[in-house]
Amino acid sequence: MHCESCKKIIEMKVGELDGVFEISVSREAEEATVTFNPDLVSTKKISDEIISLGYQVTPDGHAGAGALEEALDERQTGETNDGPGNLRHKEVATKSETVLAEKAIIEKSTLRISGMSCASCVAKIETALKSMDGVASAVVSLPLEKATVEYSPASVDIAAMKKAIKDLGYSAAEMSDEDSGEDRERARRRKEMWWKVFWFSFSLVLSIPVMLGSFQDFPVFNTFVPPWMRSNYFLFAMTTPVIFGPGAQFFIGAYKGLKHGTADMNLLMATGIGASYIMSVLVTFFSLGPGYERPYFETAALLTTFILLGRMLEAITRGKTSEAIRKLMGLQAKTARIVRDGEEMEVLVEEVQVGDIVVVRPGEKIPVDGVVVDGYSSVDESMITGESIPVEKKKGDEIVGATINKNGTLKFEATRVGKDTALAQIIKIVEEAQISKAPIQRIADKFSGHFIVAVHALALVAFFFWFFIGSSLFDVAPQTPFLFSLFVSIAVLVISCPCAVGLATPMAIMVGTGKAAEKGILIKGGEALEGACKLDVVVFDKTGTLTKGEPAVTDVIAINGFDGPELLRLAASAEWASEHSLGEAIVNRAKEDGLALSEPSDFTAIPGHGITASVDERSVILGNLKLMTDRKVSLNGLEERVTELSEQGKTPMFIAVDETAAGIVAVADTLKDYSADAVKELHRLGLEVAMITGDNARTAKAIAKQVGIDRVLAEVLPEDKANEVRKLQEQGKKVAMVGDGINDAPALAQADIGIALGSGTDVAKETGDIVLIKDDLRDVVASISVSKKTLNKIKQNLFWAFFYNTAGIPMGAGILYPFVKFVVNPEVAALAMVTSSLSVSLNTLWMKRRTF
Amino acid sequence: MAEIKTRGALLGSLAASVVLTISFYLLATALGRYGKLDIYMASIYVLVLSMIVSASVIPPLLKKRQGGS
Repeated sequence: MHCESCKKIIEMKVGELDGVFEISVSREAEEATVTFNPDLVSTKKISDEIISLGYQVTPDGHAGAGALEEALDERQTGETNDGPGNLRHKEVATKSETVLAEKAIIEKSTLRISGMSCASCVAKIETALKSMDGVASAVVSLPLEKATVEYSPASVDIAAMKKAIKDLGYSAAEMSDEDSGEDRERARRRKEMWWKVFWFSFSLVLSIPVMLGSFQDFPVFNTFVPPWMRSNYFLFAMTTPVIFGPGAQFFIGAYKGLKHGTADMNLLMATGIGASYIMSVLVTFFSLGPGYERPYFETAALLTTFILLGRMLEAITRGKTSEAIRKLMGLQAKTARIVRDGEEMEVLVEEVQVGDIVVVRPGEKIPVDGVVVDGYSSVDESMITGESIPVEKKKGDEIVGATINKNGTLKFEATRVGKDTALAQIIKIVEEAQISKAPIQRIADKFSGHFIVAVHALALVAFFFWFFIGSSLFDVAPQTPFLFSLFVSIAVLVISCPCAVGLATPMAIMVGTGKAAEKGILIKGGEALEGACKLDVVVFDKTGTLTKGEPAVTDVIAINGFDGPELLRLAASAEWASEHSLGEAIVNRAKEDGLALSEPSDFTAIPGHGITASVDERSVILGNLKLMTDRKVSLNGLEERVTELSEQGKTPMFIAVDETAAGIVAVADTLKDYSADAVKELHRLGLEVAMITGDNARTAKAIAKQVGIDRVLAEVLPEDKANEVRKLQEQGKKVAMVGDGINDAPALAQADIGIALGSGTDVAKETGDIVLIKDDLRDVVASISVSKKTLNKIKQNLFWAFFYNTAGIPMGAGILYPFVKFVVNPEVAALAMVTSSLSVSLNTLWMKRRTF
Repeated sequence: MAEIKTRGALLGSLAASVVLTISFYLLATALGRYGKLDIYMASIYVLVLSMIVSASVIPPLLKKRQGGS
């Protein structure tokens, strides 16, 4: 259940069943409490009814459906025995809180919408969709021209939604997976741009002579403009195609909107253009008397041309902001070379199936995700992870589609194809993020929801003022009071258009999330983007996040004539057969150092203490203090060094060779390369940094000290991590949790912002508001930084958009006229409106040049 | 039922606009400083703008008064 109508539907339909006295559905708890007479209706019937409505019914708690049935029967039968009667049943059923927990079947669809021009269109479509029964949520993006709708298919279908949108004067089409293909998207954009450029050019070509003819009296114009261009009939002939050609879209849009009781930018423009055109036509064909000698065709023509210019420029900048998605789509390989029946063949990438063996030669693009089965090469993964250094790939390694094979031939088995590939998942996440809204957008939504009507009211007030008061107080000649008031009123209508307000937030989100995606940072929506700017504390999980999660040898201290490599060789040889992670770390280090290990004999593991073994006929004891004491090994002051190493969070082990202390080997989980840098940068941003770990306090503090972390939450069990995050939140702090997207999922979900780190390729499985594809903690800083810059950009954009309207409306209303005899013409108002949306768009595009 | 309500709201909007336009016309005529054409043209413009405003404002107000039903 996602909306009030789901609740109402269930209550209504179940309530209509014979024998049901009462049903109360809680949307928050996803529960339905039903009071009923079991003689007349069974729980199964109630469940079936709910299921038929498109919801799922499960018993409360962890019991199965049968258990629920049994429990209900027991309670009701018992009650019936106590005393029959419907009322008794009702009381008992209510007391026993017969609960049906249900989960709605909610589908999500994306619709492509054409014809939107401003924030009011967005508000109008969202309101219409949200008011439909069964629609849980609807988010419309003006720059993307898309609507994402969550709905219950049992209550509403796509066709009904499309009709509702169409009724408002827009066109809507459902987007399929194929629609998101790069070629189709590009073709659609190109067609749209072509029409915008065509209509603007058409309008401009006809408007120039209109402008020249109308301004023929001006000093420069009268030198070259022929007198016939001044003819009202010529101006009429030039203007009419502009109004009925490209200008018709405003009238059609306004009519469709009005038909459904809604007002949008089209209405503003239609009122302005229509009023000046009709006035001019009347002046041309009828003798209206003094004050009405001059037509205003240039106002109608230029107004149309400037608005079309604005729409064209807006489409161009909009195309630039969605470049990130197009770039991602363009990464997809078109073909793949696969081996079938022992033969290599080239097929379309869509035809590759899971399990196919794919061959990729040097320089070629890897078509789908898979696991290398043969070959060795380095692969450029920068397009997915943002990491510029190629990664070596050998048998058993995972490879990601859309990356480029550099120098060797690779054979791999396809594991994920089509919409399951890492690239497809990334595109989906970025698309969803770009269409989502940041909470700050509520200001814009509230503003634009009622703005158009407010502007018309304001235009009416301005008209009244100048008609009754202004025209008699201030000289408005040569115009009549009506004409002066009319053009002031039109200027108010045109200059107030909220098109910049509608672009301010979504464009910035598109650029911000797109820039982040290029760096391998997937921000899952506007809410995450805004949330990341308000953080107080960043909590890092220790193992696997701050540290590599694998123990490694950190110190080798040799005494009594032994040297480091020899000591390490003896220790590693003794541990050869060990399966303990500390032993493995010692063996790995010895192998890395190229030491020749000897096979041990008489290997004995002493649990909790260490090991003993013979290496090259020498007895080796490797372990803790207790083991050394038991074996009566004199440690020659090594205890102090051991304490020192322990305080650094390391695990030191004594080594005795032939019953004589030979030194210490210390092992620790080492920090990742950029952990300290990331923490330092977070401090620079003014954030508190905490570490959460199951380790003991001493080890935890030692690690925290190395990276410069302020707060340590040690000895926290994995299942308690979410509680620790909650405790921080209860202190009034906004918390980000950085950890593994799968193991730390509860803590990530609890945090205000969950940042899943180093997820590799299966990004869709990740919990977290932000997913970092590569294992680099500096991306935590980058994601906060990109969020802050995007939010700043949104604030700047909203400021400029509101500033233009706030400053423009009084100017349009003629506030300057009493002082300097200046009034904004409708066509100048249109230019100001174009400048407003252009400045917002360019300000957003500027962000694309910034680095994070 | 819904259609009747919609029609009622529309009639309400139209009535409000007509009342405003007539008031405008009477006031402009009473002041006596405007030409006939100015008054006629202005009245038409006022009617159009006030219809746009009232058609957007009055139906929700009526709905609110009826308790959102």
